[in-house]
Formats: sequence, structure tokens, C-alpha cells
Amino acid sequence: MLTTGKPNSMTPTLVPEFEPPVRDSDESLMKRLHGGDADAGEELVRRYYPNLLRYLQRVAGEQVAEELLQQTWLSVLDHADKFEPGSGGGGFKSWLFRIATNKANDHWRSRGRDKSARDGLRLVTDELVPAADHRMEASEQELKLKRAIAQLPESQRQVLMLRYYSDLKFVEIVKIVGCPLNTALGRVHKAMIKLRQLMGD
Amino acid sequence: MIELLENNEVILLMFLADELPAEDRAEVTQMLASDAGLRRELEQLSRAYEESSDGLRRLDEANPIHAGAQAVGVRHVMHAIRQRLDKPAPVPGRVRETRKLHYPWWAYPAAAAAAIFLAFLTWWGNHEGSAGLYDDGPARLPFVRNHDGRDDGVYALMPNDPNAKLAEELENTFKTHNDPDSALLALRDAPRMADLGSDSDE
Repeated sequence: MLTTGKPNSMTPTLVPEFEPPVRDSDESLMKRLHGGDADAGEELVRRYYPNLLRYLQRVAGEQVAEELLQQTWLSVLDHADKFEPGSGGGGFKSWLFRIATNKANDHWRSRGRDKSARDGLRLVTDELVPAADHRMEASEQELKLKRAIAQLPESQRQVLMLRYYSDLKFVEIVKIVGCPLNTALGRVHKAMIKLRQLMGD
Repeated sequence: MIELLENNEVILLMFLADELPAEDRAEVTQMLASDAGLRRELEQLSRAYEESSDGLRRLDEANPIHAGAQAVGVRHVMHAIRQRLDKPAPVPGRVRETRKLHYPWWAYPAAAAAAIFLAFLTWWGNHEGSAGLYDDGPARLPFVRNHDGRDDGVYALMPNDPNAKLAEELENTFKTHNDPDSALLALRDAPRMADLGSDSDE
């Protein structure tokens, strides 16, 4: 909102009131990126960087997460003309996580399930070296949790991580993973129970 | 929506996630009020939901993405994006630019024709029936010379001719005798002159 700052002056100047700057919506930034505005793209990348990276780390592994993240954004750019914010697709965030999920699935398929499973376990053990100042108890908890996550079936892990890192609704998540709502909810339920059980062992 | 959900677990999960429409939510609340077993199930599910969320949060906190690492990560992605913006990906259907040929277009069929011709010549040269193409017959080596250098005759000497040694002897005899008559006399007395004479007559 704009208002006059100096009421007594002859030529009043317009100064903004003290209110937080208006944050551009994802959709408007996406539109600008599609038009070639790299700054808008940078704002989007920065906005989603932590959660998207975490999601890809959990579903595809830490070693390939950054590469998949870059591929995801390039795919966003390449298919920008196909993004329709008003078509009921759940908005930009849903579209972004769908692309990231597809990239993770492609990676999973290309490497083969057995190899990925082995890598997943190796990944868990590789990351187990705790920082010097960490308490042993904490690192043991981390180890347990990482092992538990690695032992979850891919489909269950994917839905659970989507829910946690994207904060999308279940009805939007089912569009990303392409399964019925009951199936997706069943997977989340099983994943949570299994995590709890594995962490308790 | 509630009638589409298969069992209590998924209904309670949707209830916990606050994704049920108001009417369905009210219905589930009523069910919970009257069903202790369902309440217990909801508590267990709620605990599992919180524990898994807490676990993931702790895991992320234990391995934080530092501001510097994030800045580098964003910069990498933006570098790739800027490159793509500067050089857009090829649009399907666009006519691809033909690659420039290193030599003029006619050089390629000409080289192919030359290679075929050379291959044919090589084959022809090695073919059994074509022996006469390059073969001019046996070498005709003059070996009898008069003292003034004129050839009195030639002797067709085939390679590996059994008479080659004899011919060499004959030539040496002429070389060692200045007088042709004395050379002929010497040859007449030579033991193999008869053989040479018989060959020459033929």
C-alpha cells in the first residue's frame, strides 16, 4: 500500500508504509523465467533449494541428489510452456516435485533396483561418520533412522518424503506418484509404522 | 469423500492431515467420541506420524545445509539455467542444419570409383587367366657378341634355365680368347659343347 509521506509539503511524495515486501508467487516467477528472466529463476531455485535437495537426497541418495536437482530445474525450463497454473494441477510446487520424482524414478530405473539397494545401504554406512562434537547417542539415533529409511520400500519412502518435504496434500501427492488415494495413504501408514518399528529395534 | 476411503487407517490419516471436508470431519469426530478402539488407533497413528516427522527433522538438523553450500548449489543450477537460456534446446521438428562436407561433394564418389578400379586391377593382375597381360615372355639375353660388339644372335634364356651355366661358360670363353676362331676351337673341345650345339640347333 502506498501513502503520502509529507502532508504539509507542496508536492507530496509517495513513500511505502512499513509492511513486508510483497512476495512474488511461484507462478508469476515461473512465467517470467519462461520469458527468459534468469533472476526470476534464481528466486525460484533459492526458494525450493533446501526442501527439493532433501527430498532427492532421501529418495535417490546424497551422491546424486545435486545432479538430479539440476536436471529437475533444466526440465522445468524445457517444459515451461506445458505448465498451466490454473488447470488444477496443484500449482508450481506440485509440478516441480512431480518433475523431481520423475527424475528420481528415471535414476532408479537406469541403475537397477538391486544396484540402487546396495548403493542405498552403502550410502547409509558412508554417512555414518559422526562429527567430532556430536554425542554418540545422537549419532546412533541418526544411524538407526537412516537405516530405517533405507530399508523402506521405494514406493513407501517416496510418498512419505513427498508428504514431509513438499508439504503437499495427499490429494496432490497421488497425482505426482500416479496411484489411487487409498494406495498412497496405505503406503504412508505402512511407512510410518515400519519406521517406528525399525527405530525401536 | 469418506465413503471412498477403504478403511479406518486411511480415514484417520486424512483426519490427522486435516484434509477431510467439514462434513466428513464432523462424522469422524462423532465416531471417535463413541468408539474407544478408534480413539486408540488414532493415538497410535498420531504418535507414529509425529515420530517419523521428528526423526526426519532431527536428521536434517544433524546434517544442515549451510548457507555457503546452498549458495554454491544455487549458483551451479543457475549456471546451467543461464546456459540453457542463452542457447535454447533444439525444438522438435526444426530442420537440422546439415553438416559441412570436408571435401567437394563429387570427391567422394570419385574416390569410391577409383578404389573400385584399383581393386579390379589388383584382382585381374593376380588372376590365373590373366598371366599374359604383363608377361612379355622369357627374357631375351644376348650372350654371344663379336669382338666389335655386334650381336650375332640371341639366346632366349628362361629364368632357372638349366643351360644358364653353360651360356656363362660360353661367354667367358669368348672373353678370354681374343680370336673368335681360337675361342670356337676351345669350345669345340669343351666337354659340354655338344649339348649346347644341340640346343642351339633346335
